[in-house]
Amino acid sequence: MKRDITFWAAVAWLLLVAVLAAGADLIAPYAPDAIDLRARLAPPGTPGHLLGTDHLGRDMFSRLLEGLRLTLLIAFVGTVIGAIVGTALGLLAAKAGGRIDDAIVALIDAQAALPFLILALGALAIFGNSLALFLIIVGFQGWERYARLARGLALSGREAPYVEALRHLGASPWRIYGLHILPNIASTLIVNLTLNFPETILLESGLSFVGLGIQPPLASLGSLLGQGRDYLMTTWWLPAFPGAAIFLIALSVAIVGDRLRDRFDPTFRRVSHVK
Amino acid sequence: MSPRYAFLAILRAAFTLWLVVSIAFFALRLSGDPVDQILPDDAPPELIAHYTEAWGLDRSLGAQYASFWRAAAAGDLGQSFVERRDAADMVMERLPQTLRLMGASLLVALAIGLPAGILSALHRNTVVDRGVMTFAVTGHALPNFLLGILLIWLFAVILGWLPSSGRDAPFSIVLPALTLGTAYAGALARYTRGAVLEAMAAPHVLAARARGHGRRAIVMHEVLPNAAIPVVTVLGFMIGGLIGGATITESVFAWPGIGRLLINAVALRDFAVVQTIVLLITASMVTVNLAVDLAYGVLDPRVGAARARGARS
Repeated sequence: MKRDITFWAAVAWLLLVAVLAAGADLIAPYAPDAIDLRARLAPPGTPGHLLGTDHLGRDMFSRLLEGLRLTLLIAFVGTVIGAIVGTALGLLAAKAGGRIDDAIVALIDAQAALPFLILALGALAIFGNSLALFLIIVGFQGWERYARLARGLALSGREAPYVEALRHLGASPWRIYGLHILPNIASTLIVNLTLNFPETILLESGLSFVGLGIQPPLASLGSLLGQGRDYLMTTWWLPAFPGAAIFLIALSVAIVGDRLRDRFDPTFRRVSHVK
Repeated sequence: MSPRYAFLAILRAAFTLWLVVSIAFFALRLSGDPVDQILPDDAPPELIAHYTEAWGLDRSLGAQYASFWRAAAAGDLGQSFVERRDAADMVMERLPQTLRLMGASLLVALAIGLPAGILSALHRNTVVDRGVMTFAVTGHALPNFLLGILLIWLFAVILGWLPSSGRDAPFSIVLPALTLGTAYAGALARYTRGAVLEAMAAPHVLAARARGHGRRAIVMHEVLPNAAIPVVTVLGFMIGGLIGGATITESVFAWPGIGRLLINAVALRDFAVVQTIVLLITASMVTVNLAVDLAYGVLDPRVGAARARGARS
């Protein structure tokens, strides 16, 4: 892993993006919604506007930082929501067994059978759109994989001798599952987290792209790209920068997740009998 | 395939369908009183009472639930608030276009993904393998809407070879199908590679080599048939993803299918249309998954036996 240039380039890019997003207010030369009608649709490289301006003269670099911040925030919070809900349900299923287990497994199967995007669209139609609600809807994406993983790992993990020992020492189920089994299965769940993270970004940016996610005046990378596509013919920089940012972030997280899985998944090293 | 396995698979499918239809029913109630939404704000109380009775909203929730099921089974899922006609008709008009797009995209995915994955596995750890896997990871990380825009920019704006949107020109389907198909070609190539590698590691392949079979015969008769099982499963999942992907892709290319209809209906909160499409997609997904489950049982008798015993992953 030490000499893996692709991996470290991906890590470096993600760190850079995280720093830019965290320091957006300090770094951005303009307010993201500051309109300057005299400097409309300025191309990249214009003095004062590094990445050009949009149709209202808003600085693209500042808007990109703002979009980056919202996109990463939603991806982080959304990934954490799915991880917590899914892991909790998975552990509950393993702990409770019986009817509760059957019900949770049936829910997992039902969710796995449906495209999440369609359910998210249905939920947006019923409940309308606000930032908090959108965050929760996007967050539920992928919960069933955490639940399935946590349940399976907890079921095999609780047969381990140390759990048996804990039980004889009189530890409560809360203690056993929360303080002992969960930390032991965490590494697998964290690998799943890195696989889930780019999917959350793509869901958010896809919904924002078609105008059903983040609403103006807020901007995410997806909504910036969605607004920029109308200018594809004339001012290429409006769609190009947010598009490239989404792509590079999703690609980097996918590469990092891939390497982590290769490292932690014992089935990765296979032999071949075909020569 | 044991009858018990088939029965359990059908039971799971029925449960999913029941769950989603029930959620749709209660979501409809939560979304507000349809009478208030359709009638103007200053409608006289007698008119409200008349429609409340005519639409059965004065009956118990249980009775409404039963009649909702009867109507849903008959394909009646209410009226579009926007176009003032049956939501089911609007959906059915656009369905053929979505199926066409999905079919063409699946062809693209299979035509690129299967050979790429097999080649990659047979030439493991070579330039070919790394090239294919780079393509697969990139295709997976490149969102549909972005790839669509890139293709429009290249083929419609710069080269001017293909139309950028709509479906009237003869080659209109090329760009949307490439957009939707490429992402799944990448995923399919990865799974195919994994499945072929797994099959190549099996002891019976070693045995075939020991018996002196040629490489070609081993690949054709020992490896590929065994690699087919996981690939069929993944194809089932992919069709679900294809429906989701079609929604965004149709919106990018102004393709007149149910995906674009769904996006517009969500924006206008045209609830009957949204509900009809969600239920239609659910029903098709449940059917596809059932078919995959049953096909799995036929292809691999061990799976049927194991699942029927109640073994879980």
